[in-house]
Formats: sequence, structure tokens, C-alpha cells
Amino acid sequence: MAAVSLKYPDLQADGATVEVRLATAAKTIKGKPASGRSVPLTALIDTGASTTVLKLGIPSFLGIRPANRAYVNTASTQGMPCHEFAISLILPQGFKVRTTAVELPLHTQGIDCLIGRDVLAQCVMTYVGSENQVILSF
Amino acid sequence: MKTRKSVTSKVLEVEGRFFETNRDRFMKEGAGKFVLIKGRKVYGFFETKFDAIDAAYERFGNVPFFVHKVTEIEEPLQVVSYLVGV
Repeated sequence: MAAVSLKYPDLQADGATVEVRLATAAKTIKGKPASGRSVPLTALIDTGASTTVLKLGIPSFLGIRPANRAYVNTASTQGMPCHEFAISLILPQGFKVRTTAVELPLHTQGIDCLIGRDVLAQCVMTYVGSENQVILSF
Repeated sequence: MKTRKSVTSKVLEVEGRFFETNRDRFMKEGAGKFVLIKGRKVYGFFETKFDAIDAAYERFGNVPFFVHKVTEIEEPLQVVSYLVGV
């Protein structure tokens, strides 16, 4: 099992952030390899999210088109329709995770993506609070 | 508590309405599977979400398509983070 080890100055205060690259989940499009364009993002590992969330506008910036119309419950809204996108998240050391993500406004500076339990379902997350460390094992 | 405030455009509204209208029929044909819809046409039921998504990219290219799990009752995704602005 290979692992991504993430160290932080203050994990409790800042949360478990990780620099990722985001690309389309398409492997081939009409028989041709999908373009390899990707963008770097700052993501926050968020166990309160059942699915990964992308900041509003990022899918269109990358040219990724919606693959579903989903419904989301947030802290203040129930059953809100939103678009779902098929994406690949490329983690440090090149680990690639294919998943789907919804597009929602994120009202914070510096966080472009919430990594939800859909990604965590594909790995083992070890949270070592006393060492300010998070380890993702795939 | 607010309900159904939308952050989406009208993209895939046709497919979403078509799915809701035909949900009972889809339950008989592929309960628990993932249906691929484009416009008002069904292009198959698939065992996994990414089986359907891969098939959609092959057939339609990089355009909007509708891949949805066939369930009797819609279960919304849960995002409780305070960072979400809705």
C-alpha cells in the first residue's frame, strides 16, 4: 500500500489541506485520449462532506461539462439542485483518484476544493494530531 | 431552513425531468444501476457510475450528459462544511 504523508505547522488550527491537480475524469473521448490539461488547487480534507466539492467556476475554467444533476443538503439549505462533474484528483506523488464532485460556492480565500468521503472511501486516512500529520494510504 | 435555492444553470434540466417522470419504469429496468440519459433518450443501464461515464464520453464526447443512480427515493448529498456559501 503506497502512502501520501502530509505534515502541517498547526493541523488543528488550519485543517488538513493538500495541494492537488484537477483534470477531467475522461480517459478517452470518442476514441481519442483525453487532453491532459490540469490545474493546481488547494483542497481541504473535509469528513463532513459526503462528496467532493469544487468551487463555483472551476469546472468551466477547465472545460469540464456536467455529468449529472444532483441534490445537496447543506447547513442552511435542503435539496438544492447542483451539477455534478466527473473529475480526476491528482494528489502529491502522483496518486490519481477518479470521482465525481459537485460545484458549489465556497466562501473562503485559498480553498478551491473540499475532498469528501467519496475520496476517503478509496483510501485509509490516518490523522496523527499529536504530530500535525495526516497520512493517506492507497 | 431554505429549500431548493439553485446554483445551477438550466443545463441537464430536460434530462432531470425525464428521469423523474420515468423513475418508476427505470426502477423496473435497472434498480440500483446507473442510467445514462441524453435528451429524452436512455442509452443504457450500467453497474457502476464510471462505467456509465466512460460510455458517455465515448459516445457523446465532452458535452453535458446525465448519469444518475436509479433509486426509488432521491437521497441528497450531504455537505455540512461552514465553508460552503449556500
